[in-house]
Amino acid sequence: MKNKLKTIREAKELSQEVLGERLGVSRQTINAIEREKYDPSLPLALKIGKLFGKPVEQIFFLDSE
Amino acid sequence: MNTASNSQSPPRTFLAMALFGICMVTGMAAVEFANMPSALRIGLALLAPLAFLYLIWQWRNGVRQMDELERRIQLEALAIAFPLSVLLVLTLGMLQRVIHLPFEDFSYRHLWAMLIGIYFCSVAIARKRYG
Repeated sequence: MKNKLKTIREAKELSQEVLGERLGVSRQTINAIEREKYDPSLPLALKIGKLFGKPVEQIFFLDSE
Repeated sequence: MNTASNSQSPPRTFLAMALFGICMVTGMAAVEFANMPSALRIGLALLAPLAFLYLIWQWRNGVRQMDELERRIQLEALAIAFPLSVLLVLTLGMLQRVIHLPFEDFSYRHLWAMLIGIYFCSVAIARKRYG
């Protein structure tokens, strides 16, 4: 799965660590998601969407899209 | 095993590791004292497994406090470590039928250490995938 998390995070001027703290996960998790090495769970994806005020589909999308 | 929300587990885990180390040394030293009553030697020898049980309990608590990526890494590590451990025991078991494996190098205690080594290697392999 691909995502635009890094772009969105940087637009909000948030560090990976701060974002991780707000989501209750480690900086390593945020880094792994941004590098598309790890797909977040549904609850975490929904938390990310809610934090940035965007639908999940605007942040995460399938490889084929 | 550190995460944003993991504040209590590391000290307790390290304490459990230290306790296990002490019990392990005590248990191994018990062998040296042949004049000690057998029941006492057995008791001292079993201190290490009991301490290890406590360590496993703390490790389990630590895993429950990890974030989802760390939990995934632990799960994948176990998925790697278990089959490799089975393979190791099978290999040694088959070799034992055809050659002499010296007890000083291939006792259960040595096998245990090999299995622990396999687990840590598996964690490193699993972690590298997401690094």
